[in-house]
Amino acid sequence: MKLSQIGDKINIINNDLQDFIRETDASNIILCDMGGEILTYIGNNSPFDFPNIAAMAAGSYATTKGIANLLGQKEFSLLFHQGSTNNILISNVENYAIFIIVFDNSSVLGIVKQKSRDLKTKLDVTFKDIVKGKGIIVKKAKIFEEHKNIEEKEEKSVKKKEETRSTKKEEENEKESKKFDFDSLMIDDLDDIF
Amino acid sequence: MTMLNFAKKEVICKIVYYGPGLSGKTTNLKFLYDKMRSKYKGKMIAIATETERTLFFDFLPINLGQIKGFSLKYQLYTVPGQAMYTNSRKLILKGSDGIVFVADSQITRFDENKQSLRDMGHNLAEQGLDIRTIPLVMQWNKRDLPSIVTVQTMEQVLNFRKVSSYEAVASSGKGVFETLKEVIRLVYLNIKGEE
Repeated sequence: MKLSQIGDKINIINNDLQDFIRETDASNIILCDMGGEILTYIGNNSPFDFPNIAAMAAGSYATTKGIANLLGQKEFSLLFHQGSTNNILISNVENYAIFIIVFDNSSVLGIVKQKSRDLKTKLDVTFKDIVKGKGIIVKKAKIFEEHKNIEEKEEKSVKKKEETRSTKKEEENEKESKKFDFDSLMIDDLDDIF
Repeated sequence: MTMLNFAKKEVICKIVYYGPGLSGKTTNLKFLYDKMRSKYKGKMIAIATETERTLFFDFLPINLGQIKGFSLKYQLYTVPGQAMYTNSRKLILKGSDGIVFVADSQITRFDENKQSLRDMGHNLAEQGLDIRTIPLVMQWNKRDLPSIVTVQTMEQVLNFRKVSSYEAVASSGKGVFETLKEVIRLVYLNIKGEE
């Protein structure tokens, strides 16, 4: 979800975020897209570098999603990082965006978690409205997809090769010679070096 | 920083592909993954946004060669090139043994190469590494495109250390293996020297 796609609805989102801050006493809340670009942020004047926090939180969320995939989970929807004075809670809103809540020890973790769930459902409704209204297609962020795609390609190429083998052996030999042979370059040469 | 695993008799080296956004770092790794035989490569992990821009890093482990009975494992990483992910880049550069600088040959992108190289120097210094001594290979990527800077200019401006450089077309694989081979050689010699 990009800022340009949200348009006027940003006011509704801002109100939701403001309500959240009032209810939980959190110091700041940042809403950013899945790539870490800030959509909006609300809260008191803090010395924090929000663009950087957003970019890194997006990376952190994506990496954790990678771990979740390795464990056979779709995602870990709620991330909580505890510091000595300031804590951070990261959560996604489906595939639309992620929000980052910065709060100190004066806020109660349980309330922040509970209210963040409420906020998530509210934002989800708003984002769904936007998507419906404008007919935007939200793609999923790619993690491991590349790996799968390449595997599929490999399978396809193997199948194709088998087909061509039966029909055009000469052409296939040519292709083989043109295709870069990793062994010939890397291993032999490396052995020489060693 | 090279990691030694005595129990498994492994040496683990970290090689980072650095460069400006959209210069073809991930494409390099993709090509390697695509063409390498399965016994040498591990699982490629690409953490990217919906538009396939790298968000945090791409990761490809490969196993090649031996050194005094220890098998050598290389972990190839790419950094996100966009300016906003500067802190992520710093994290990924931590403990790197060798660097491949992937430069975009297009005239319009030339300044970004310079900027990225400067950024790399600062980030390495923050990690206690020196851009003047770390094993480095330059790759002049996208040589197949029409309006490109001459190799001579790129050598003069970017290759301040006069290290080995390769012309490449990462999408078709030209120069990709040569670059990897050279960086592996340099990393190997560096380990041997330290030893």
